[in-house]
Amino acid sequence: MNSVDPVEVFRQEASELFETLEGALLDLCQRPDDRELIDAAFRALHTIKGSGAMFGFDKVAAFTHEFETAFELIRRGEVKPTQELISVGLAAKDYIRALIHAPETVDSIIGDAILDELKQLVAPGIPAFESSPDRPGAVPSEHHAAGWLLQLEFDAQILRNGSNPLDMLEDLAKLGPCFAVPITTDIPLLDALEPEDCYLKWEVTLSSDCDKAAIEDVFMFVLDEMKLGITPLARVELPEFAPLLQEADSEPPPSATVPVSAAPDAAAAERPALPAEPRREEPKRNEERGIATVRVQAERLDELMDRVGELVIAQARLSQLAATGSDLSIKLIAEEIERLAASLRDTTMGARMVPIGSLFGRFRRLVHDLSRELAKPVEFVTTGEDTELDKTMIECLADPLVHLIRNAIDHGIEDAGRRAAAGKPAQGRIELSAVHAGAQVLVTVSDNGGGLDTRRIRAKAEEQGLVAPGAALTDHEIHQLLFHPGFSTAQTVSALSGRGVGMDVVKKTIENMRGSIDLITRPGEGTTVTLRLPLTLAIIEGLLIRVGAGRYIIPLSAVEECVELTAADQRSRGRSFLNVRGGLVPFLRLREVLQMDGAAEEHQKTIIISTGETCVGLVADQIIGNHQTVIKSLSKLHSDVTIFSGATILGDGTAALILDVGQLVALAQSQAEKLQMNEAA
Amino acid sequence: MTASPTQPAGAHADGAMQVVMIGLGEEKFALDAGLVREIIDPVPETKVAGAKAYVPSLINVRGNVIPLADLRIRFGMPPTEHSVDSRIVVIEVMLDGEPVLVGVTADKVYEVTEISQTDVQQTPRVGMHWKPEFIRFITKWREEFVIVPNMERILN
Amino acid sequence: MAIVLTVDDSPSIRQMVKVTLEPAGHQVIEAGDGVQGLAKAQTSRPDIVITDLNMPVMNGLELIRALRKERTLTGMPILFLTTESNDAVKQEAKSAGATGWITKPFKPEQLLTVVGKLVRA
Repeated sequence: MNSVDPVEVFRQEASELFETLEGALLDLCQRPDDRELIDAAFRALHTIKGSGAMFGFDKVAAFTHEFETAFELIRRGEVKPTQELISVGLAAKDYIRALIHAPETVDSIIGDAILDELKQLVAPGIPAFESSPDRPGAVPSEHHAAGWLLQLEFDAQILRNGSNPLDMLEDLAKLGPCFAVPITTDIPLLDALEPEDCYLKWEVTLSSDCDKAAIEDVFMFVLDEMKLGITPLARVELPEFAPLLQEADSEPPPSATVPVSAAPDAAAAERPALPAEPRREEPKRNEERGIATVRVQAERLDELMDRVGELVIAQARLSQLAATGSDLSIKLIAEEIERLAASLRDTTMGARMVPIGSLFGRFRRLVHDLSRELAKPVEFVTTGEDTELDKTMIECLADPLVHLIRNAIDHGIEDAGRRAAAGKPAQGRIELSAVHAGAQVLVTVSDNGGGLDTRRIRAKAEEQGLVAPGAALTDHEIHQLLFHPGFSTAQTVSALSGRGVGMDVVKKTIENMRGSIDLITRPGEGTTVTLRLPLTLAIIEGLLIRVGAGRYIIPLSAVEECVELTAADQRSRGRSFLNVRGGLVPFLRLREVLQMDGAAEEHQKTIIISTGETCVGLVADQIIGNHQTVIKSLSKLHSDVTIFSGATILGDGTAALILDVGQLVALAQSQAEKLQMNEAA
Repeated sequence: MTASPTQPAGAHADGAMQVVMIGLGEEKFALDAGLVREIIDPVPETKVAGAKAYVPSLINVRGNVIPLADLRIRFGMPPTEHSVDSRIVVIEVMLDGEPVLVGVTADKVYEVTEISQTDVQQTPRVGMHWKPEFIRFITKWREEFVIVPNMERILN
Repeated sequence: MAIVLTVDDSPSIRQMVKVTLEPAGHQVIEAGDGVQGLAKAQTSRPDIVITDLNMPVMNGLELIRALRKERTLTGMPILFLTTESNDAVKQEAKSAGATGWITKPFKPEQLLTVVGKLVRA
C-alpha cells in the first residue's frame, strides 16, 4: 500500500465523491429541506476542493471553490435548492469530473457558463466571492536586524494543548545562535503547583539576521496563547529583565540557563509516567472497531473465495471418509469441520457482498436526463437498495440495467398526449427494485407505460425474417423475439436507445451470471422485467442427482419440487407432458439428454425446475441430496457443450457436471412443441 | 513430411528435443517435455455428454477440473482397457492465445528422453489415413518409429 | 520515529500523509472518521494526531475535544487540516484543544515541517 500514489487514490476517491454528490443532489429534488443531504453534498464538494488542490488539480479547486461558495448559501438556508439549481449543480459535477478524469477534453468556457448560470440563480444573496487572505504569521517584516531580543510568556494552559515551549526554543535556535534565560518567578509553591500548567517565561537573545516573520512563524500556532515581545537588538529598550540578562551575560549561572541545543525531552517529561507500558495495547473498544472498514483489493477477495472453495471440497471428502468409517471421534471432527467450513464460506461470501444501492444511485441521473431529453416526466422509485449482491455481479449488472431503464423511458412510457388520452397521470413511473428470494436476488425494472406492442413486435420480426409470416405464435413467444440478436422496434432511432444492440446482449450478460430474465407486460398498464440472479458466482446450493452411473448437479434455486414418475408416465414414450397436480409440464428424460446407454431404472424421480414462469420436469434415476457446489468453469475444449453451465468436485474427488437450467428448459420446450406437431400431423 | 516449420519448444540447437515417451495401443508418441506439467495415475473420469469425441470427459486434478483428451480418436485407433501401466499426462497447450490444461491418456509412460530431429523419417510407415496436420514429424527411437504429435492442432 | 495518526474521511489525504511521513521514519496509522480516530488514539497512543475538521460521524472539533478529555493523552499535539482561511475556524479548533493547523492545500515539505515542529525524535 505504501507505494500507492495519492493522486491515484484521489481519482478513485473523487469518483466515489461524485456519486455521493450526484445522489445527494438528485435526492434534493424530492426533499429540498433535508439538512443531511445538503451537508453530505457540501462535504463531498469540500473534499473534492481540498484534495483537488492538494494533488495539483488547481482548476478543479478553483471551480469547486466557486461552486461551493454558491452551495454555502443553500447550506445557510438563504437559497432554496430549486430544480434549476440542481440541474446546474449536476452539470457542474460533470464538469469537475471531466476536469479530473479527462482534462484535455475540457473547455473552460463551459465551466464559466456553468458558474454564470449558478450565480444568476443564487444572485440575490451572494456576497462577492472573496479571495483568501491567508496565514496569520505572514506579516511582512519591517527590516532586518543584527539580532533580536525576545520575551516569551505563554498562557498557563499551553502544555495541555500539546504545545511544547522547549520545542519552540529549539526551533528558534535553528534561526541562529540563541541564548535563552528562563524566568522562574511565577512558579508557585509545590502545593499550589498544577503539574500541567506552564509557569516558566523566557527571555531569548537571538543572533540572527532573520526577519520578524520567521520568528513569528516559530510561534505560529500559539501566537494567541502567549505574549511575544520582539525587539530588534539594535534598539534595545532595556526591559524589566535587563538586569538579569546582564548578569547572565557576564557569567551565565549554569542552573538558570538552558542550553537550547541540548533541550531535554520535555514532551516525555510532561506526559504522565507511563513510558514502560507497551504502546500497542490490546484493542479494547470492540463496538468501535466493529464499524471500522478496511479496503481490500478485489483480487484478494477472489483468492480467499478460491481457497474457501478448495476447503469446502476437501471437507466434503473428509465427511465422506468419516461417514464410511466407524470411528466416532473422526465423525465428530468431520461434522465440526463441516460446520466451520460452511460458516467460513458464508462469511467470505458476505465479505464480497455489496449493497446494490451503489448501483441504483447511478441510474437516477440517467432517468433525470432522459426524462428531460424526451420531455417525458418520470417519477423514479427505487426500493431494496440494501439488498446485497456479489461485487462482481454488481459490476456486470450496470450495463443491462442501463439498457432496461432506457427502454422503459424511451419505449415504455408513452408521450404526454397518449398518456392523457389513456386517462393516465402525465408523470410516468419507473420502479427499480431489488429483493432477496431464497438463494436468488430479483432485480426488477417496471414501468407504468403502454406495455409491449405485440403486433408491432411481430410485424418487425416478420420484416426481419425472424419468423415466418402467419406462423402460430403465442404472445409469450412473440415477446421472446425481443431477445433475438439484431431485433429493434424503435420506429425512430433515438440517440438514446440506438438500434439493435440491446436486449440480446442483456440476456446474454444475465445468463453468463447464471441468471435469467422474465418479461411480463400488460397492454396499457406497463411492462415489468425481472432479472433473477444467484447470490454469488462462486458457490451455490445444488441438488445432487444420479442418472445411470453419472452424478449431476441442478442449482437448487431452480428446483421447484421433486415428484415420483408414475408407472404410466414411465411407459409413455411419445408423451410430451407430465401431469403435475392437474398442470401439464413438459419433461426431459435426462438419460436421453445425457446420452446414457441402458434401460431406465425403476422408481424414476422427476425434478421440476423453473425459470420464472416456465416449469420443466427432469427425469433422473435417483435424487442423492443437497450439495455445496463450488463452481468450476468448463474448459475451452468443452465450450461447445451447452447443457452444462460448469463443473464441481464431489466428496469422493470426482468431477460432476452442473446442468444448465435455462438450456434444459428451452430444450424441453422445443421438444414438446415438436412432439405436439407430430401428434397434430 | 519434414520437421515442423516452427521450432519446437523443447528443441535444442543441435536438433535434439526433450520428450515424454508414451505408448498408446500399438503406437508410441513423443510429447514435447516443455508442454508436460505432470504425470498422474488414472483418476475417475466424468463423461461430458455432447462433447467432441476426442475430449470425451473431465477429471479432477488437485481441485482443477480439466478435460481429458484421447489421442486414439484423432489417430483412428481402437480403444484400449485401463491397465496397471495406464497414466494421465497433464499438458499445457496454447489455445487461442490462452494456456489450457489438458489431460492425455496413455497406456504406458516409458521415460523422459531425447529424440533427434536428424532422424526424421520422410515417409510415415503406416496409416496414410492419419491427418498430416496432427503430426509434427515422425522420428526413430530405439529402432522404433515414434510420432511427435502437434497437440495444438489435435485439440483445436 | 513517531507514531502519527491521520484522521480524514478522504483516503487520498491519508495516503498523502502516509507517503510523506513514512519515508521520514514515522509510523502512520489511519482512521476514516472521528469515532475511529478516537478509538485508534486510545489504543495506539500516537505521538501526534492530524485530523480533518469536516468529517462524517464525528467531526474534527468533536474529536479534538474528546481527545483532550483523555487523561492518558495529555500533551499530545493535535494538528487539524483546514481549507478555511478565516480565523474563526482556527480559533474554534484551538479553543477545542488543537495544537496547530495546516492549511490545505499543503505541500509534503510543509507537512514535514509542521510535524517536525511538534514531534521531536
